Amino acid sequence: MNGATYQIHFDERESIRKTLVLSLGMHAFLLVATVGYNVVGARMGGVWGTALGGGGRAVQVNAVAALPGVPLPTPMQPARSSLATQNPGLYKTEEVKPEPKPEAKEIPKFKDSVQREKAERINKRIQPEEIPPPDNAVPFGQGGPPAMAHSQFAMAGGQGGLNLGEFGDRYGWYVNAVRTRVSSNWLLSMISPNLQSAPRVYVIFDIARTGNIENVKITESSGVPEVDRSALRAVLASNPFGPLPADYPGSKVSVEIYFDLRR
Amino acid sequence: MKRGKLKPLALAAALAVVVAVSVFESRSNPQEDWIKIGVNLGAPRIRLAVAELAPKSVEQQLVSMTGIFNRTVRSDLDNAGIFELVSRTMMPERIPSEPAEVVFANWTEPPAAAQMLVFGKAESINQNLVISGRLFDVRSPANPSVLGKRYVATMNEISTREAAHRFANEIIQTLGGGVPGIALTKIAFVSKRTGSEEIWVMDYDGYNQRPITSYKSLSITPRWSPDNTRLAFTSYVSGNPQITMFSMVTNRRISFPSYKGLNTTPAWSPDGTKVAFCSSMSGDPEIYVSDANGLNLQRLSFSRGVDISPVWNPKTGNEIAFVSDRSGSPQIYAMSSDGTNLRRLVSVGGDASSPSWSPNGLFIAYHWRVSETGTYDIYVIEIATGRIIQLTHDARRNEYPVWSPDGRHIAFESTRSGSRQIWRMLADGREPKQLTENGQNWGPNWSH
Repeated sequence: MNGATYQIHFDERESIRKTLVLSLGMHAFLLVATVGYNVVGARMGGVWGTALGGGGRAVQVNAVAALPGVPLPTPMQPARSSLATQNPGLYKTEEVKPEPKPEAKEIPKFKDSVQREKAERINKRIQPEEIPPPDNAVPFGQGGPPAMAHSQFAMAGGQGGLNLGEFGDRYGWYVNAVRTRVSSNWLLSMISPNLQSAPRVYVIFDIARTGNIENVKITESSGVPEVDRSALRAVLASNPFGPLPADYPGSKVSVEIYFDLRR
Repeated sequence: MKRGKLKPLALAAALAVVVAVSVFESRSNPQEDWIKIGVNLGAPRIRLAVAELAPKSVEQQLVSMTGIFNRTVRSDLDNAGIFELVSRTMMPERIPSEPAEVVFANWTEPPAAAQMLVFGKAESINQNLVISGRLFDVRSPANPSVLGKRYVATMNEISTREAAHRFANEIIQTLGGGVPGIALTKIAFVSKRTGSEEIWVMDYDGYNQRPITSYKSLSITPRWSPDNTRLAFTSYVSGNPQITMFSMVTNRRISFPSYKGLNTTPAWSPDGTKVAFCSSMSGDPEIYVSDANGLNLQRLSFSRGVDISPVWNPKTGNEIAFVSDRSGSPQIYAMSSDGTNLRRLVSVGGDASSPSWSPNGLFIAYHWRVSETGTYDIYVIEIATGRIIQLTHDARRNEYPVWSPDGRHIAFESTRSGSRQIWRMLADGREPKQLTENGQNWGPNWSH
């Protein structure tokens, strides 16, 4: 009993020294690995964190003034839609109204504030109050091009001297065609009519050179099976898309598409 | 002692694996591009500017053919239903004919505010019409070219129109997400303009109307085979109504067995190997199915009353919808292609008939006489939900709807202009256009 205690004590002292040495060694290895990767990586053509990239897998978000690709509809109800930008629509810019002073509000309880977004089912017998469109509402789709497509980002995948930039930047028309097709195949009537809104469903798939769809997967469920199913159906019903642009060198394009149910 | 040694070793190994994996991962799939998009409210139509092609010389023939080409392309793109065309008066004054002449700002800014631009030139080379047509994405000036096509046509209207249809189809398929255009499809119909009911065929836009039969009898219910090489129809030429097969390749009749009694409303299975039709060979009009050459006759429906107008589910090929009056008035029923799993589709009163199954298999268009008002109108039922959408209203009688192969259009017959004529509209009921004008025309069927 006593011997055992002594042994444990001894073992502990031994392991502290050993761990210390190993930990130092590990840190040294990490340092060497990082520096080494940067040196080797730079020679291989990719440097992390340079603005112009030249390769690598840096996530690059292009905020551009002229619309290169798809003008995405804002994820709002049509009646409440407003311009994503103050310029250069077909309408004159309205002056910004001063914000009303914030009134003192009770701080919401912690439990409420972290509640997950839930699918909203309405009671048919209680009619929801209709919200009149504001005076300065711009009808959906008529507000002129927004200055920036609101989710225009992609992995820049340049290697071998040819830096194509973003697929959506270069082949905006193709992205638009994909969206139009999927959107026309998304049948809201297949979703229970008393379901007014649902969290977004994210679906990913690949488009092969021929335009055929592969590897369709739901990456983030809405939590409502019928919405998930209708989103999957919309993608599968669009098979095949048109062939990828002839001068695009890749063998496939990966698509992440979300479906936003707002009636 | 053992524990003390193993743990850090395992840790180091795990770390090495993690580093190695992350290095490898960042190096693999160098050419994988991502598109990130969202769908919520449906997509707006693409704003397309169709600049007129300019003839490169002033030859009389070249100028007139270029005019035909321009008009045809513009009308095809307008009919497609996915574009918002920029009106001519909103276009810039200088129309380009070569890529270098395109001034992008002129097209992207209001009033044109176009997303895509169609332009090109027309030349006369060796007595042939040579068209160079281009489609530009004017919103990305760095890489604007989407399509560049060259067509050689003989200097006549039919050839020029075909070149224009082909160019329009390319544009529609490219910008519409891969759905083939319908500019080269045809519509068969029944016309009485020569005094007797004969089968006629026209282009989908109403041009080039020509007779197929001249039997001086009664020929009705034309149906295109899925490969467009044959027409099946009902003909009274031998005295009693028989199913008649007609080859569009040789312009001759092909033999098909005749049966006693009424034989009418043929329908092709989507693979073209079978024909379903209505026959009263057993005394009562029932649905039969046989091979396309008439062999392997099989009876599918067994009920008192008329069973007529079968139509196959074009997507799956294993369901048949048809009209039956077993409940007292004509209603639309569906069954499997072997006759099992019978059910009624439209469960509201009135008379529902002439079903046409949409190419994606989800909808059936039909005409319906509502008992209360006595009006004939076109409706579409969504089969899965039973939801019914009315497409025509307040326009006299509208009957015999039929889907286009791209599912974006419906052809039908209507008396809204004063006489029975063939009309075409978008599948949501908008933009009806009259296709025929001479005499009486009805019973359209769209080629594939």
